Amino acid sequence: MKKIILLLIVTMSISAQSKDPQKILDKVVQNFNSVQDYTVNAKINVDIEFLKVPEMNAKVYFKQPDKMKMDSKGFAMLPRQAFNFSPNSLLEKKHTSVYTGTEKLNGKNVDVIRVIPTSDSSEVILSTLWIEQDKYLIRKIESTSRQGGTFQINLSYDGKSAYPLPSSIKFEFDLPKLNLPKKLSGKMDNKEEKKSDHPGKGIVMIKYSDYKVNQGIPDAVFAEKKK
Amino acid sequence: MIKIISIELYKIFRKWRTYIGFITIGVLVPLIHLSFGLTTEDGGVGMIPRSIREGFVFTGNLANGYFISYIILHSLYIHIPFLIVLIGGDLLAGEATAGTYRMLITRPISRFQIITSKFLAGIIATVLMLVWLAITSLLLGVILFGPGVLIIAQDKVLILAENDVLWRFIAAYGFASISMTVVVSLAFLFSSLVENAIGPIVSTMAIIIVFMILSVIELDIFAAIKPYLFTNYLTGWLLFFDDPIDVQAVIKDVLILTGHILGFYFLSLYIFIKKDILS
Amino acid sequence: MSDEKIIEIEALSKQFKDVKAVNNLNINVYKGDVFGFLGPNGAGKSTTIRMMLSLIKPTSGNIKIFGHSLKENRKDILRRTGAIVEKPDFYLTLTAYKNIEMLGRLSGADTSKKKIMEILELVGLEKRYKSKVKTFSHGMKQRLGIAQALFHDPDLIVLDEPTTGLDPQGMKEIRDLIIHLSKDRGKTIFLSSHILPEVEIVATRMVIINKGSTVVEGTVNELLNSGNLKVTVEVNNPDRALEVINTSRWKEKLNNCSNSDFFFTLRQEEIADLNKYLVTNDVSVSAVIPTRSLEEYFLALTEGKQ
Repeated sequence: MKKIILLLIVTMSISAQSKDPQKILDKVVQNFNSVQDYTVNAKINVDIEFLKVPEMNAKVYFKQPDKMKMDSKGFAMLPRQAFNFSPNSLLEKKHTSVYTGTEKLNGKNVDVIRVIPTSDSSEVILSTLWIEQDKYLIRKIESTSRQGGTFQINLSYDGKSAYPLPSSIKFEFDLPKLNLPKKLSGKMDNKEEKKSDHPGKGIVMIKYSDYKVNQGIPDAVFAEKKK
Repeated sequence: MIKIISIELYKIFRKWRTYIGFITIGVLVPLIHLSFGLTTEDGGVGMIPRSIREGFVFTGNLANGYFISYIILHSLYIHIPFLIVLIGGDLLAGEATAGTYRMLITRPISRFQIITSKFLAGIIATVLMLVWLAITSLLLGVILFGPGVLIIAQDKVLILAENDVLWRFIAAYGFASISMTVVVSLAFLFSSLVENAIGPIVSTMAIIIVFMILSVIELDIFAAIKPYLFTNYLTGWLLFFDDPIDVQAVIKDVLILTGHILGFYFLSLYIFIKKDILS
Repeated sequence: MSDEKIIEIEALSKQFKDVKAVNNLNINVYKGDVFGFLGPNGAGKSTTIRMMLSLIKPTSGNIKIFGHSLKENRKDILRRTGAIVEKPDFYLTLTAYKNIEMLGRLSGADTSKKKIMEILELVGLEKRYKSKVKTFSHGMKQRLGIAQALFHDPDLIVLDEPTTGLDPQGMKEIRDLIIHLSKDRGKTIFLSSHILPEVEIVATRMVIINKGSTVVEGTVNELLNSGNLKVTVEVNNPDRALEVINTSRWKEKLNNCSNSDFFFTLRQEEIADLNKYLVTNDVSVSAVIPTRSLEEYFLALTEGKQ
């Protein structure tokens, strides 16, 4: 399956203007590696059909290369891919990259690169990255998983930070066909379900604020709290 | 009237039968708390469909006092009526059995005063039992496990913010008071018809069970009568754990239940006023 | 005797399905009366008392107490009425004290500890005031029943078999209490009893009912001195008396003789005739004693022999 996709993409990109995709990706990683660690406040809004969640506040910690932690005074939930997101995690595994061209995305010129992990164990089988030219900031990622679902991450940068850290992320994913949770209530009359504005899709908006970058975070912070 | 109500309440709480409900709740609820504390409960996260759940990371005090209180209210709700009827069924029939009608009715108080004060005393005892349930489940639960968000699954999975939960519980218990008042009213009505408390207790329990079964059977003939069964509205407290709350449905349920209460009361009043006391 | 009517029962009837328990009953009870309410089992006494106390609704007829209709003035009437209806039943899990206090509160009485202890002392239960009523004997419950009937100092006291279960001493105490309440406190007592000698001693007026209707009503003296009487004639010369009696029409009236006592059954008007006949026939009569036991009268009436 992967080989077919690869062949198709390579064939399609023959007519595209050629840039070295790996060089672009390396620059992205290099850019991101300027961040050794950070803490940031996250405001999370989840919009998923049949799941109603209030706005949540959390604190997110990151330390190179791959330490992540989320804390909240109340309750918070974050998509795993958004929680674990860093270009390193996406790009450090063996992959093939293919440059497919340039586009304009939200007024910015971006290079579009397809990344195909070559490992059989990889959960993701294909990712497309939209990388802002010159700044080497990832603006958008679209990935397809082994199970056939796709998710999209749109990243925004407010330009306030010197570091390639987004000010907001919009995470969109396909909702699988589900059996909705069985009613626990004794009420037998079926209320009319409110139809979703975007049936079949889930959206999570995360707004980041108050980044504290490269201030030093002890490893103990990331240790698992014993229940 | 207050004097007579206080006397009736005194009589209710001097009967051992009254304490069955309070003791049951007082033993059962802490046991549930204990088992909750000893298990690795996920606090309701398990209600989120797995394919969604596995795509997220969660943090927070999910296995909290609100969650266990909700579970307790949900589980015990079906059983509380059977503890309530022990009080309601005895209110009038108990006087007949004991022969104390003669002492009571030959006092300079009207039969209206007698029956109304007994009815109100029964309601007060019912509400006190629910307050006891709230104390043992909600208050004790929050003390032991702390507050937090509440994850519940009705027709959707709903996560309620911590500061959005307590008032819902208060409203739910308020609604439950109305629901249980219907139950005690029905037992009271049966109690006005007979001279032994066992009959009203068993009859009320039987009606509740039969009506609940009829509500659940998915046949057209039963679907037609379902809206007329009061048991259909007893669980309206669940409406307070929805977002947004269907206020019209709440009002409708409250009105229907209140209508039943008044109907049972006035019927009891009529029977009692007309009754010849031969015991 | 006062002519103020305390109880007026007029054409009172009660129909239970196919049984007419009370049939056009008429009774008048006057202030200060100790009114004996008599009748065999099933005569309708209990039904009548229950109607007087608004436990049962009449099918027809009127009841007035203290000059007011019971139907329209029930509360005011009951405030001035104390009653025991059949065997007194109490809240068994409560103490004697608490029962009196509770019932007293409902009657609007002064429920201070002093007052409660006074009434318990009156009926001989002051030492058991803290005991739960379920530990009481029948006699003790009867005493407590009297206590609750008297506690709020009613003007009319309705007593249905008040001495049932009491020992002779207890019966005497209740009899004395009834007489005291009537004579010294001006209370009106409505007393229903099967212990007929008790009624005879205390009652001033009485009615005997049978099958729901009045058979006879009047003062005790009036009723006992009408109809046949048991007359004892004491003589100084019994042989002569026997000879005279056996040769006269009085032989049929003689029941028995013993030494110098001769026992006759006579009508009231025959007593003087007998005395005259004996005296004119040289019998030395030392005493003529007519007696009419209420029990005999009652049985005679209700068996239709009168």
